[in-house]
Amino acid sequence: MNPYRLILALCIGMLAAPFALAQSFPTKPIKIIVGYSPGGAVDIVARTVGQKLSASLGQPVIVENKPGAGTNIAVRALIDSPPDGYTLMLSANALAANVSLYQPAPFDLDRDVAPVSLVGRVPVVIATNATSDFSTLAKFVAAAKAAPGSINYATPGNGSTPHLAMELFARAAGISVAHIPYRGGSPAIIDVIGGQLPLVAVNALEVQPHVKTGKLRVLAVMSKTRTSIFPTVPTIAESGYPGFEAAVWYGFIAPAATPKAVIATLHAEIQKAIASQDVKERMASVGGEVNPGTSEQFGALIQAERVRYEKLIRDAKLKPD
Amino acid sequence: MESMFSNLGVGLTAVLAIEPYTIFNQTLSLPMNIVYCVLGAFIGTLIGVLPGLGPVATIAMLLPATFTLPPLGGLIMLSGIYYGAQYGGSTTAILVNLPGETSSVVTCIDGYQMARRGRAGVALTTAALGSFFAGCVGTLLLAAFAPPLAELAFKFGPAEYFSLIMLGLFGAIALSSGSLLKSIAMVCLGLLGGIVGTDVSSGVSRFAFDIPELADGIGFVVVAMGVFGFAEVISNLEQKETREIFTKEVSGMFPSKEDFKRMVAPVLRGTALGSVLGILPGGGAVLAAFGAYALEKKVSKNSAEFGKGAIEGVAAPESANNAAAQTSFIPLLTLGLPANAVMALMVGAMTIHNIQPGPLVMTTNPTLFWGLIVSMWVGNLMLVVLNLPLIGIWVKLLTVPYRYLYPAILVFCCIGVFTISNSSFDVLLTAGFGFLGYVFFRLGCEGAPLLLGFVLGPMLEEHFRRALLLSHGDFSVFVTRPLSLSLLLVTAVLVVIVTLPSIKSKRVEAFHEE
Repeated sequence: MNPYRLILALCIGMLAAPFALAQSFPTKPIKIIVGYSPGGAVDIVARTVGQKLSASLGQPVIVENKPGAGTNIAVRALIDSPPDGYTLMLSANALAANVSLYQPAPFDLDRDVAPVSLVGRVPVVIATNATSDFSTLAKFVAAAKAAPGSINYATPGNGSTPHLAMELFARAAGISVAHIPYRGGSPAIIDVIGGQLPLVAVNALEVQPHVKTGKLRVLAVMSKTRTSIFPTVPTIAESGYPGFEAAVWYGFIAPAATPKAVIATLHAEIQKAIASQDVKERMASVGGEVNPGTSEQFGALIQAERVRYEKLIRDAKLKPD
Repeated sequence: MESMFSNLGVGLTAVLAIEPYTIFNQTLSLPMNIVYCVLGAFIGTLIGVLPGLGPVATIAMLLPATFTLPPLGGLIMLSGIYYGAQYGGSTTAILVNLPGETSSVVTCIDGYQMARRGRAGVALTTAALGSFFAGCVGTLLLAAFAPPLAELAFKFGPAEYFSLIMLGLFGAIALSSGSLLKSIAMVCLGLLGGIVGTDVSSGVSRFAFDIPELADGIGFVVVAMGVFGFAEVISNLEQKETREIFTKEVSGMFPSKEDFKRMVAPVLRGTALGSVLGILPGGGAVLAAFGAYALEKKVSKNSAEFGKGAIEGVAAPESANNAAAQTSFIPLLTLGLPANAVMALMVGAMTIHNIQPGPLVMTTNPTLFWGLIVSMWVGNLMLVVLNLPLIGIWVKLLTVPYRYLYPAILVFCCIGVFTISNSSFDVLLTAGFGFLGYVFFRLGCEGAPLLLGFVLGPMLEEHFRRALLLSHGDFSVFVTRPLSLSLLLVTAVLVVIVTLPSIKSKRVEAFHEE
């Protein structure tokens, strides 16, 4: 091809592109940024939903892992992407907590990101070694009151959702417990099963297999209602601390300036994907319960969580991990 | 014992099962699980040979593809990728001094020296045969002792881990062939570099200079690629002559009788050490490879040759890391606890198929459990079959003129580093470490102790501080817990008995060189 024709062809291509964009979204592959390493719950949820979206939108959906700095690197990558709906992020609680956990705040929730759709929730639970003396939450609270600061509990890390949840609970119950942070849920669980320390705060799905085999016992579920994962375990509210709720949630966000119409399209497709039976089933094993809802409801959830974490982090002087 | 064999029989039947498979509207009867196994091993070898492109990224990308496969087939393919990559990683370590995996760092030391002496083929065959043997033993151990061995991992609390890492660190400090003082200095530098990032215990950021990319520390692959790969390229470009000798004298693919004699004992010792350490979650394979090398260096008759291309220095760590790779499935399959990132992905793959990994798998899904175990052995066999003929091709790669080879090495390194967390910052950091590695090379300091400190440093600190947190600041935990105490005692004995003669022999060596 002679060079002039090539240039001409490129010009026509460039002129045509905006029209194609205006015609129908999407016309090119969509990218989902995940702030965690491959293999974690959020990553698998992103891949499961991504596969469904790819089929319904007729465009490839690529999951890109950008782990590090408690998902701040991923959020930064999202904010720096063009706000055209082709870059999304599957975010979790860290999004709402990090604006208070990190100083200065790494981003501005209102100015930088737009909620697209909540996907699902997993309750946080307090579990103990099955051979420990804490048969109920009340016994644990009583023991902690008798010897403040002497009972150790494990979490997946400083500033992780279970850590924040346990601190919230300790405040509500008026007890003082010693926090032992780990690198992720599974080493924390290993040490509790091995009897190195009595308690662990972690998401319900991670302890489920060990509860089934009788190595761990769940003392309380930190969600509003009982969970289908442990139907016989009482909630914190049932155990005498009403109004208390903490869960790991995750949902899709987009750069703030993404057009409303594009967000609406994405929201509708995500709702369709999470309503399908096979996604629901897969989610049940890796991501808990799916939560349908509007983009505005998801935005309100992020705001409510932000306010709650801000107060806790300020009061307890927590630092990130 | 009998039940073990009948169980393995169940597994073998599952793996060899012939299933109808439709392709291009033709229905064929194929042993599909074998097909998945070969496919996985092949992909694994390929990504292992591409430096830095690790199994974690590959398995993550292929995970959705396995949604549609039957559970056993999917898992067989994924585990094939895992040990295929372990295998391929040592190929680049030997040929171009690029450790693809943490555990193949040690292989670089003597493997690359063997290649420089024109014995790349022998080194690759040794690695392949040693790994295969270790893989077979690991598989049998997995089948026979999985449940009791898994309980062992629970006995290890933070105090025991601390003591074990101390043992590993001191045991391996005489790892490098150069001056003892320099190697201690490099270990310390590695320990310091390892603490960059956010402290797990307190959440305080250290040496990160508010750069978000440094918040989680400097990745192992970044340092390994830089100090080994990039630095090697720079120093090779500087010295034309050595490179030419290197490429001309590629001869002898197969180890001689003498080589075989020398490699039997190291393979056995490496396998034993690897099998035990592989069970421990977190860094088992790394400790195993470093430990096996240090052990060989102490007990071998040819210890003077270590660091200059000793076949024992390839055979022992390669067997150890493959045995550890095999036994690291024990905590996953019996307890549902992943030992490393790849295992965490396997948990994801299992849960997607509605199988909760854990003690129940063995009873509720015996075909899957035993099928997977048998497929590991089949996979190891496939790897030998696949790799032995390939060795000739890999070695030919070295005859490619270096002016074509080195840009390719650099490009693949960059791609590999980038894919780990999709970060261009990491690529720049690798280049920085490459320069640093070149400076070290000129100063006669070696990279292996640096990497050892880098990997073990953060683990050492994390477990030390966690042990103290758990004991509310009481230092006696390290000596009142019997397992921890015995590990510390072994360390002390090691320091006294082993380092004294080694200092002496080092002096002799230095004397000879002058």
